[in-house]
Amino acid sequence: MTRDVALDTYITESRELLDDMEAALLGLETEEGSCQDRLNSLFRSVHTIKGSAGLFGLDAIVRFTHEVETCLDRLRLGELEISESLISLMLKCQEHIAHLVELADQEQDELDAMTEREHQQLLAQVRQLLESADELEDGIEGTLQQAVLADHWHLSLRFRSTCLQEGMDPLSFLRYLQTLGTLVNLVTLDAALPADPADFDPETCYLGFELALKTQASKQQLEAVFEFVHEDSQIRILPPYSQVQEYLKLIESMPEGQYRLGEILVQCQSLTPNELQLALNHQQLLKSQPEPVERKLGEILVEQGSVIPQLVEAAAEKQLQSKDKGNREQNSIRVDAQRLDGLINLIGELVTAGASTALYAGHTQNAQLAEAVSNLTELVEGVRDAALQLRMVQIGATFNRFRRVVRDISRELGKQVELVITGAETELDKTIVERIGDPLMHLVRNAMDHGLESAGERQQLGKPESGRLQLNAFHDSGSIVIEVRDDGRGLDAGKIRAKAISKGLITADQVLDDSEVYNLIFAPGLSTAESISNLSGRGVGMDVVHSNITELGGRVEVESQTGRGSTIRIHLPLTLAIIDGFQVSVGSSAFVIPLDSVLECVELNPAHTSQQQQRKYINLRGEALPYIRLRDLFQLGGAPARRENVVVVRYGAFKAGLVVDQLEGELQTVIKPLGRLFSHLQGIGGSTIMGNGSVALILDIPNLVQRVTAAESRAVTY
Amino acid sequence: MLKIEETSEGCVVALAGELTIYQVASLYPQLAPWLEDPRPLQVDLSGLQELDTAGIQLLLFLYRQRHAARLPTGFNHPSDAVASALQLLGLEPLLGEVEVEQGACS
Repeated sequence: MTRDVALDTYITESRELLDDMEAALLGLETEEGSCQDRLNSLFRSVHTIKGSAGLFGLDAIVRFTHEVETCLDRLRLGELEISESLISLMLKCQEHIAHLVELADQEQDELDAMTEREHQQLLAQVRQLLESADELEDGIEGTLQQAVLADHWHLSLRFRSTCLQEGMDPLSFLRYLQTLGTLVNLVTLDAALPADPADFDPETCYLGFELALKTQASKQQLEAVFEFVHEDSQIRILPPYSQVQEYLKLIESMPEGQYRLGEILVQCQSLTPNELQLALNHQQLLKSQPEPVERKLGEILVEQGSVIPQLVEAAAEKQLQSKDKGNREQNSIRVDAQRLDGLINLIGELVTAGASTALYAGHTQNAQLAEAVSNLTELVEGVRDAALQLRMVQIGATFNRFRRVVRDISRELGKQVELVITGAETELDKTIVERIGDPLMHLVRNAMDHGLESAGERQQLGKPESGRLQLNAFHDSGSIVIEVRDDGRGLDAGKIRAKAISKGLITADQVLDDSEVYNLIFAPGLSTAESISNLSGRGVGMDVVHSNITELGGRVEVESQTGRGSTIRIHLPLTLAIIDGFQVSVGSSAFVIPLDSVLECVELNPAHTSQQQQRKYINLRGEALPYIRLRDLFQLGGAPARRENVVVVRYGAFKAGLVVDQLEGELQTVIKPLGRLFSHLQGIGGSTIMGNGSVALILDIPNLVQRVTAAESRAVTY
Repeated sequence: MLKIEETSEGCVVALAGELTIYQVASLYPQLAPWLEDPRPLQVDLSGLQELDTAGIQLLLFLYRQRHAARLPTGFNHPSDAVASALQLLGLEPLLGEVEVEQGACS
């Protein structure tokens, strides 16, 4: 089955609009002041989703968004009050629309029972909201700006008297209107018929019509119906939910006399008796002023022109919108992720080919060729960096998703939580961003559920009432660090320890320092939550967080201070494709160390090494540096070179030395993942093809550093 | 086309064919006497094939004038075309039987 490309675009766009919508809603909630822009953008988002859904015949979306749109429209016009409950409802609606869009993406036309139920519930809630707002308006001593209840168009038609002679039959206009929608009510007005038969000209049109029309047609469409009779006729078209004021103007402008026409409007159900009363009361006030305002046809026509500013405004807004859109389109181009991957693969090959060219150029001893190749290599590096940049996205979008999560959970738990986002502009590889969402979600939930105290507790502790949750990101030596920090109660090492012992994860007499204890929270089967809350057991546990991050080549660290809060720090590699490497060799085997993790290289001075039981140290300018020999680690055999070198590498807070035979220098490395067969290998992250065609193994520094330092800490424990 | 009949029920004006902008000018003088004629009037609409705003306006004017003078007036037997037009305009109340006294039309 071929899939509509346009539908894909629609779905992508809708997702973006839904994100906008969510952001706008959350913005409305947190910030006061000028929210008109947000309201407008909200309305536009939903309006666009609805409009495009119509094109694809996604009826469920159209149906649902229509109500939401109505609600947002009234919100935008200031006819509905912004309240917390309303925003909550709108957020739920946003979620539901997102769900509907996903269903459309899966090309499911039918809603499943649960979705359908949610659909109906939300619709009912939105309608109820609209109705209750209406009732509220009824109740209050309303102003003329308030909207009428009627959800239909009201048309007030006085055709020019010569229309019959000109062959324009009002009846046929009315019949045409019937085809545009449903005529709710129509009242024919004969008030203009002359009383004296001598004055009656059967070929002159005296009749007027007031009608209520339910239609999806736009104002322009309706106006277009009367295009040819508009001149010298009085055609007034009031949209649904017009202000009472508009109706008052209508009543005043028509020749029938206010009470009569007012009653007719009530008869048409365009005004409720209350609304009419409101309008007439107001008019009474005006009439009590000395000079009664006599309205002439000319004046009315000018006033009819008053729709124009509105239209102009709408048109301007539309223009602005399309301009915005245009800008956005110019700023970014959608590229299929597969094509991008293809490009990066090619560049990987290019880097490899460049390396071999450089190698052979070096052999020729041709200075000019070497010069040219060196230029080329530089350019290839540039191209590589640029291509990798294409895959980089800012983490901000991922962080921002948590505003909603934090808001919802804080409601659920009855805690006040302030989310602080820093380092949103930090960039990292798209694939990593996509896969970090779930673990982060769990960490955030966990921090809010277990970490942060309730407002009351916090007050007692002398902390600010509202808890603080911080999401932070920054770059650190070739990796990106993401922190989830809270200022809650911190981890209880004693409790975790007790739990771990009871679960058999550690033995009662095992000595662990605090950070080791904290790390136990990532062990499978350990949950310190005393009561299972609503938030626990939602799929990912801390152990899954840990394994997800490890899968990405990352690492998790926990820091905690009792009563002051805890920080969970995730270290992740920047990218998974091409790195700057540092090549070393042991005997005839070549290894590549990611350059970012290399701190320095020193010659191994046997006088500076010491070994105590299993501990191997180098005295590095007075600092004890644990080290490991790659020859021993990988059981390469052969005799060590006469002069060995130490590469000092760092991962996170740990440093370690790797002893090798030869330092070969820097090179660009295209990471080729190891085949499945080798996936269990420890300490090796991948392989790469060198310029001369031979294979070098890329060292997995995080793993190695951990092994070296773990050997050390084990040594301490024994 | 206007046909005035005296039946056993009384005076019946039967309209037939078209009652549109093309006919109203010539028909009005024929109908004019009825505006003030005190005898009960029943207008039979069964023969009307076509009716436009001008036609409706003429009927409405006739009705309104007589109604103002409290003269019994009724329209009945609307053809489909008439019924749909009256219904659209909300003018069904015009339809109704009139007690026509016997021999009153002479």
